[in-house]
Amino acid sequence: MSWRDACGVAARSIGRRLGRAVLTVLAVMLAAALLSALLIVAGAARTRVLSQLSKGGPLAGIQVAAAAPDPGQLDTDNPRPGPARDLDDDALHMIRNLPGVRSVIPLISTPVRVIVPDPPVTGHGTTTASAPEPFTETMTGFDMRHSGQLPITVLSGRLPAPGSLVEVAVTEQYLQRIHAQKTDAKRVVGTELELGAPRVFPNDDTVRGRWTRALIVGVVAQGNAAGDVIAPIEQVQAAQRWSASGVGLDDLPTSKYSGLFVVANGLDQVGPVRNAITQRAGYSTSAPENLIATVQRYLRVVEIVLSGIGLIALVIAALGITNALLAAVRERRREIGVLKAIGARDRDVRRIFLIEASLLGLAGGALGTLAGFLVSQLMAAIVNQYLTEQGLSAVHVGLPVLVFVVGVVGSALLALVAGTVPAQRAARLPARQAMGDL
Amino acid sequence: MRGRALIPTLALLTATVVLLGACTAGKPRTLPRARNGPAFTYVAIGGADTLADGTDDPLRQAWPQVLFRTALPRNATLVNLASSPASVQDVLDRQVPQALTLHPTLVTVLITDDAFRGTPTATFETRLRDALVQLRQGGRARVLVANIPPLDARPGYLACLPGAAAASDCTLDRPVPDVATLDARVDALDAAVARAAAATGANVVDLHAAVLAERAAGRETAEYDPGAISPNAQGQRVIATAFADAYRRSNA
Repeated sequence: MSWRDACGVAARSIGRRLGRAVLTVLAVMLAAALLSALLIVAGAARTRVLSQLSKGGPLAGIQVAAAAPDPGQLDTDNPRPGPARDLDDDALHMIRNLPGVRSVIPLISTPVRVIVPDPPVTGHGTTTASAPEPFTETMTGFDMRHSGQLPITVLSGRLPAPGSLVEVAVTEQYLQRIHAQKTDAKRVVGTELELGAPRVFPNDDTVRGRWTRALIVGVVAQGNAAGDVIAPIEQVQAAQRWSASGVGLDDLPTSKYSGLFVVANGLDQVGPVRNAITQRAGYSTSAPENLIATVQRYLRVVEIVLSGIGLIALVIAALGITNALLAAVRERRREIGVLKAIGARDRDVRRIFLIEASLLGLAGGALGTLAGFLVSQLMAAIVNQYLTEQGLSAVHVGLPVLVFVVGVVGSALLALVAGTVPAQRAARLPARQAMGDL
Repeated sequence: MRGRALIPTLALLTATVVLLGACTAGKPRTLPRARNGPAFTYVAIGGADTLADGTDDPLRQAWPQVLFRTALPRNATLVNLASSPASVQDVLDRQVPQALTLHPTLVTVLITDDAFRGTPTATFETRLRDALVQLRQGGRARVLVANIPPLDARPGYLACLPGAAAASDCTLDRPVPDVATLDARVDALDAAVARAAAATGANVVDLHAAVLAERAAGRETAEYDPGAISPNAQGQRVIATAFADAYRRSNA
């Protein structure tokens, strides 16, 4: 008997007992749905928790301050920095060449006068935001091409485009200034700030502003950046150059870089790199590596428990398949006898039952994984509504390819294993005994 | 038969819609990228009016800031070099050299103090022409120069006239010219502004006519706070509108 014939016989057999087949597929589907939903949710939760700990940046990120280390604060995740110490190109070069360092992103800051639009938000919301008097704040800039490596969580909108001179993002602190809630973050996006970099001309006692207009394209959670405004490095450098070319401004920062963000080659390299920066370069560092390591251990335990629950469900489904096929063997003794009488060999009969089991498993697995994805999306929608109400960034729940493949292929394989005993029993059924039951 | 085929099709469609909806739910609104555009440096030159001395919030309400905010491209940068008080001589000595270091694309000039100080018209015209020639940078910069608006209704001036009720509000050097003399000076200086602009290729902003229109509409009084010599926020918007109109005309 060819594979094609065997598939045809198996399919016809499923069709003849459609009710039982549907119930069996449903059992596999429910188990696969449970397993995939648990895995997807656990994965999303893991990403979210770790992202929260690292503030959206890489887990192996280290923040270097333009300050000397405080000897009393060593070996802590967030030490209090010591006295100010300039971060220049030499320090950047030295840190970049330390072993275990993957990349170094410099941050620069400059003071700017900020004029908030009046009104400071668009549309209608729950709160009445108001424009404050112009205020002086720190504008922080970095190379936006590397924004994915920095600990910045976008609450609404996006980060400014790399090299943009007319786009900025604002922090939660800005929302507080305009008396807006976190839930109003999206209403700030699309408004425009006026930013004035200060400068005093020679023979002039007036501070002159170099005013630029910048569209607020996003609101970010307070991360490493100080101040209200986050901008591409080119924008901050232009403001910095303007201020530095004047005379008599005492409160300008002397350090070329206000900080560095160092990415280590892995979580296990964070400690050695931090020690090297602190001891060899002499700068204060901070990184949540101890916290992340602890949380990762807990998350692993949670994942194992959730996977165990899903696997138990799958095993129960497999038992259901075995039971259904054993019943089929009992009911189809006459059919098996006829097949053997017309020349079907044991292996042909075994093949028919295994194909039948695999088809049931495959269908249940595919439908179940899809259902699991939909359930996880539903859960994500509910969670995201809550997070949005709290002014927090939403959780993105995708369908990992691995979960889909494992769900479908795993279910089919499990069904194949579950169908082995009934298939073997059907194959060994002597033709005469099967016919004799007539 | 047709009905039996419809049910699975509807089920499939529903599942697709739910799946697509689930995939896109909660995606935040993002703005399209704003382009940098070519460099555009705007420099404002002038005196108390340009510094917005008569407003509660000079940084936000000064007319150059309003012009910058409402009429210029987003990629423009503004530097307000005005000082108070500033005669045409002060502008020529200090503000013009500072402006030239910035290589401006657009320069606005509004000087009113010479009308109160009694600068001779010929002197004013010579100095203004010298300033405009330099600011034009051989035609590389567009220069908008305003003529002097009527100053005879400004509370800070009226307080300086002999017998004024609110004499303590006077901030000008006494004695100030009487109303007729001041109006005559303003007319003479406005004629000088027109000649200097014509000679240098600068564009004249007819602020005088704009303020007279405000006076005719009965709005001028509300454009000055009590005792002020410079316009308040409302008056600043009038000046900004006049400059914005002139800027758009010069673009055409």
